[in-house]
Amino acid sequence: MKRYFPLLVAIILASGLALYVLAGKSSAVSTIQSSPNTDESSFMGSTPAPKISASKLADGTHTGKVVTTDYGDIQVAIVVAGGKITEVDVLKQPGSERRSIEINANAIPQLKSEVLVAQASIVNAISGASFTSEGFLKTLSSAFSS
Amino acid sequence: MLTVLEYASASVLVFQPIHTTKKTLKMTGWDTNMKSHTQIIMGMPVILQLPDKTPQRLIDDVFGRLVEIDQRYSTYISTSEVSKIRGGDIDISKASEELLGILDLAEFAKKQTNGYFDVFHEGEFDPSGIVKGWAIAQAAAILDRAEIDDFLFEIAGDMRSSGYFELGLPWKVGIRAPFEPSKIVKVLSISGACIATSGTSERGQHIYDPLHGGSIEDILSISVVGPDIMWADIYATAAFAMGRSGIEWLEKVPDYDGFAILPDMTGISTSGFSKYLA
Repeated sequence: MKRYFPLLVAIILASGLALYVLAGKSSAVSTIQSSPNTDESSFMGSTPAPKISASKLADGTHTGKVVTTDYGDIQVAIVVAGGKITEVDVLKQPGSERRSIEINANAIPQLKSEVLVAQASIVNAISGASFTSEGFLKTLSSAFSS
Repeated sequence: MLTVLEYASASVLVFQPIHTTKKTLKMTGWDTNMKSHTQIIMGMPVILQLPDKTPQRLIDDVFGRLVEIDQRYSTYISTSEVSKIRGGDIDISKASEELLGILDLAEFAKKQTNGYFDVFHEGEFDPSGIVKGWAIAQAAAILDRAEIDDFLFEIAGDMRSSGYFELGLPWKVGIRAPFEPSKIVKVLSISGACIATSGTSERGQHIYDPLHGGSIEDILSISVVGPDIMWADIYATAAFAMGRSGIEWLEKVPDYDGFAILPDMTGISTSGFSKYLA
């Protein structure tokens, strides 16, 4: 859980950004999340993420404006249901060059998590974890020492 | 060589490659059955699925190339170049041109993976981790040069695909459930892409961190899909060594995607992974 904190924070930040864009800079806000994480600086420069409640938003999909950051343009859409943000889609993100891609990926991991379900399917081959040998342990060991 | 990071578990053999019924599509000229050829080389099953009209001489060449690579780079064969270097009989700077090329790649891989992929382990030279993927790439190139367009080339669960299994049907590759060799949890559809998996396969098996005394148990396996088998293999090894953060690191790697399986039996995929799903 701890390791995924940055992911959660990124989503929260993205949500905040979407609302920030939607609501405009003048809107009164109430805090829904506090986050001690510092990841926000990696894609928002020094601007702190606004903390906004979604409770005043109508249900449905809200698309934010394109916002220009130091690393490129970013645009998100949020889906609100029952006053809660249920989904955040990143529509546009910096990606014109390799450096941007890496920085950007740092800020907005779009990893998807799911419960494993056995698949009933005929396949041509199987890829899977096999026995880990001594060589691998050595690789690990050297990785930790680097 | 290919003493490798990974040995195939016996369960690999449980899955028999599919043999199609004869398909003759005159309109399109597709008249191909896939035939499976298996040999144990480097202590691992090498499984080639090739069109049945592939000349035997070509198949022999492919297996022959793998045997040759094993003879040169195995750490288990005392006369191999790698064994001689490890034993101090040959200075590494005087290695063959081919091995120096592999070392160059390994050095680049180390930089690419922030040091997580390293063929020098506490001063000991062991290129096994790069040679397996490199060997698949080398031997499969023989098929490319012979203009065999459709094949699946697998060594112990890591594979390169080319073309189609049947007309318009890409190769289907399952990702095995950890600890349950008879189950697959993902089905990928690949035509030209490569896939490699690193992980633990036995319940209760721990990978210990020799420096800090803890063990890595926050990830069971990670599979990497992408355009090149050697890099897919390298990235899978490195990402697994990174533990839980490996999948996040992989998200940043251009052109490669992956699927990690955690001990609570959840799967985490990179944003581009879904395009490979069957």
